[in-house]
Amino acid sequence: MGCGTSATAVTHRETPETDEAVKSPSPALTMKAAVLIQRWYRRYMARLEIRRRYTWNIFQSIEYAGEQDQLQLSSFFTYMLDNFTQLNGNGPDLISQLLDPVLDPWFDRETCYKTISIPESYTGPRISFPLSVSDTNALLSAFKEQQVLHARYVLQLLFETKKLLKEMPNIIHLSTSYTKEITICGDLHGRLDDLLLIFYKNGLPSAETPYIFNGDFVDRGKKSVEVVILLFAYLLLYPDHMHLNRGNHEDHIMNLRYGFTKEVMQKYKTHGREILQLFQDVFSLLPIATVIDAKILIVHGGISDQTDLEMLNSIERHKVKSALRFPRHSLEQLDIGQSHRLGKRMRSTDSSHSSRSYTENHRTPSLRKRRCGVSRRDSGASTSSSSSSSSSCSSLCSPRTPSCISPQTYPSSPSTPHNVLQVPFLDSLCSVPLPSPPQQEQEWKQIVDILWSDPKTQEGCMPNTFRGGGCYFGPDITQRLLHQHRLQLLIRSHECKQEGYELCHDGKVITIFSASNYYEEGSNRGAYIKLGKELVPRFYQYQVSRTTRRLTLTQRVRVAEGSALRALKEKLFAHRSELMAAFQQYDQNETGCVSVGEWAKVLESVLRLDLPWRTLRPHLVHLAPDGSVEYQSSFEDVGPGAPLPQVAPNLAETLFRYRTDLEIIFNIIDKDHSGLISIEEFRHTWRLFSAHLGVAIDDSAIDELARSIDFNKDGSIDFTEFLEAFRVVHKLDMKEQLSQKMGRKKYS
Amino acid sequence: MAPKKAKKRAAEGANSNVFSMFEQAQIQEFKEAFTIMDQNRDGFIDKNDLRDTFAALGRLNVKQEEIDDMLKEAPGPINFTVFLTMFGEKLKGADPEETILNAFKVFDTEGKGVLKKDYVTQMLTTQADRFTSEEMEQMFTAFPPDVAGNLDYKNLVHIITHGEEKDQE
Repeated sequence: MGCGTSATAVTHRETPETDEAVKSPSPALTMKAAVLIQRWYRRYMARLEIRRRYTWNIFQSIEYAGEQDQLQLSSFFTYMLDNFTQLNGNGPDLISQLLDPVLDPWFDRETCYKTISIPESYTGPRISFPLSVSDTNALLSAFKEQQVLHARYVLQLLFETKKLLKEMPNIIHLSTSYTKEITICGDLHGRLDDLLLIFYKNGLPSAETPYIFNGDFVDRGKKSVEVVILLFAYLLLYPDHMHLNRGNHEDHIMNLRYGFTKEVMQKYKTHGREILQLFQDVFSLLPIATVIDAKILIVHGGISDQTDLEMLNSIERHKVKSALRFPRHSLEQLDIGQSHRLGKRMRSTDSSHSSRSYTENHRTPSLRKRRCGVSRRDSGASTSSSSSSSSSCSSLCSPRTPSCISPQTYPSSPSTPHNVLQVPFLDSLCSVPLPSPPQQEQEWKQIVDILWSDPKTQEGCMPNTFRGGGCYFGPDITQRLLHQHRLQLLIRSHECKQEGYELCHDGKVITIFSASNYYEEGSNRGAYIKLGKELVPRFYQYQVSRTTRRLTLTQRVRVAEGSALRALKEKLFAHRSELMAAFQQYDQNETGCVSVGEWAKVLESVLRLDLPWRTLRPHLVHLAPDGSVEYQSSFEDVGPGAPLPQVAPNLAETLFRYRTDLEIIFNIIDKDHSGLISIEEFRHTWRLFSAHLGVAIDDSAIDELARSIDFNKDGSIDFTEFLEAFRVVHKLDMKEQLSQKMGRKKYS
Repeated sequence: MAPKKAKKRAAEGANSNVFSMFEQAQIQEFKEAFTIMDQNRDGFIDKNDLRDTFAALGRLNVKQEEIDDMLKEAPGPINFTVFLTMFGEKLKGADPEETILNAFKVFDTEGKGVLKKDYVTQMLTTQADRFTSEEMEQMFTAFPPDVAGNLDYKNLVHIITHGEEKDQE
């Protein structure tokens, strides 16, 4: 304890011993000072930790809510398909191609690559089959240089991969006796940097360095194409030492929303659709699981209480093209059992039905396009069939069927015919033919459970209503399955983890996640596992860093927090009218204020994200001098990206909310990738979309909208420009940029 | 309605009266803090979570031994009611910048505005609520001393205080 001879007189306003200002600080004083500093610093760190955690919560909630949102898109496509199979009347369009898997998966269309020639001007990597190490090296360096592989090679690669995968069983069995160690990686989600970092740290795939990649190679990240090409290339090069498990994002419908489809279409304007078709086939052919030394099971998501490895091994996995599309056994469109927003379930009735019809006259009241973000706790409390409680509603398109859900009879409406299945379809009921025989249904559920489930601390097995597919499985389920098959460990991915990995179920379940900075720069590390003969996992962590100067913990938290809060504010903005309506119920006198409690209640009831609203309040809204919340202040610093076309307010909001979905739809409709669609197509699509969402928009409003955005008045719409108007921007961003230029006080 | 000492309360065990001690708004805030700390959302927080929760709520004058004692006295795992019972009042706010600066100045007898890294380490890890070496390292990573080993504590205090302000607004 340092005591100098000359001391600066100090005054402690807070502590009682102010009168004891001595020349040299006494031991008591130094102790007091130390305590103050220690406490103060610890409080700061604890606050940082709280911020980090709720930031994480925000990201996760929005992500899962988004997953539910997206399934909405899939149901919309189904709807579109069934109502208007050909939008332009000229034959099947991309939508049908994309959503209607060709019956014969071995259809030889993929040899079309032979007709594609490579122009002289092509400067990208050239590869030849069968692949050799020089080809994979060429790919690696090319991708590092941001080059794009020519469509012909992509198609050829996919064709070869498909051939190879066809020969593989559903469950791959590996042994550590031939190799030193196996490396197991989790979700990559199109992060090429992470993959390259893993290869750099751990070595390229080879006979000495075998790898297992546990699914979710694509979507979200910007380099999904490159990632998956590399993985497939190594698979072709070392089929015995490179192993890929299917993830829930190896699914063409998920790809529509989460970016892979878009990325392919952008990078491959001419051949994108064929490439996507092949990817669809290849994805469905990926093995479902890997087992090491008959002791360690590796799957992407998890298990359920009905997981049966024998059955999994025997089914035809390629038939489950997408977890979001119930398997069909005929050419007819069979809708997925859409879970009703309020959780209504219908019991399937018996007997078959030949023709199909849609009845849309059962609109339930107060139904709109809200998604229900279910909190995990709530889902634990309620069963899958709980209906009225708002917490039980699930996504609109979940990998579930009517019969998968625990049956509960509901009063059927008077006009329900007996021989059809009444399936809730958003806010209406549709009659569809009976689903496929129980066998197919069972098989489909087995796969979906493997790809979508998450572990939980509570015992038992419950439907994963948060995600809308698969189950939550407890430690007892894990124990049972491991015991049943004489396994000792389950390795899975599917969930982003702060440290890149996490253990649960008493060490029997490991989650491994390999996309660092998944939510935001600095949000999390990535990790991989190395497993040797003794089967003791070792974890290796890393984090890709874009900035040249490494950020401190505080800065990282701040960056991630800022990003999360912006996403949250956008959510608020996109639900503005609902929120305002709810606020006004508490604010009858139109003072513009409600209490903090009321504010928090409204937010949770509308957004359903299960977030700590009171803690977040300072970042989202202003307080009046009397401590009440000025609820409109949330909407002040976000606004549209470009001058809005003349649009009715609720239409505008819908557009904000579904901007991404609309973009996807437009991209698909725009076959020649001109960026333009015809007014007729626009009207058509929009009408469908709004009918599907239950937004009450009459035709004249749509026509007006179409007219107003036909900027060139030539009958076509530049939808990029149109969508730009509905991108939410944060006004503060512009202010920040300005003031930064002027040089503010600096933070280290 | 004066808040009782936490220890005494813990000895009484969790009871429903605790909710009447606080205003609804306060309870809601506690609940949120509790939920944030309850990472796996099972309604319970463990010892490590406890310490962080304390610290975040401003209750820092709780030593590890005290926490251990409380945990022993708690009827079971710490759920929200138990939590409320054990830790009564909540202290809001942070110490003013001046106070912390003065605390540092106690050690900076020559008034240089900087302190030697080793000295700071010694000062904070060997007395009072001792810092662990990890905590010390964390501080120096976030606020690195210069090449001569001097820690600019004024800067440190300023940034943390004003960073907090900015983030709290």
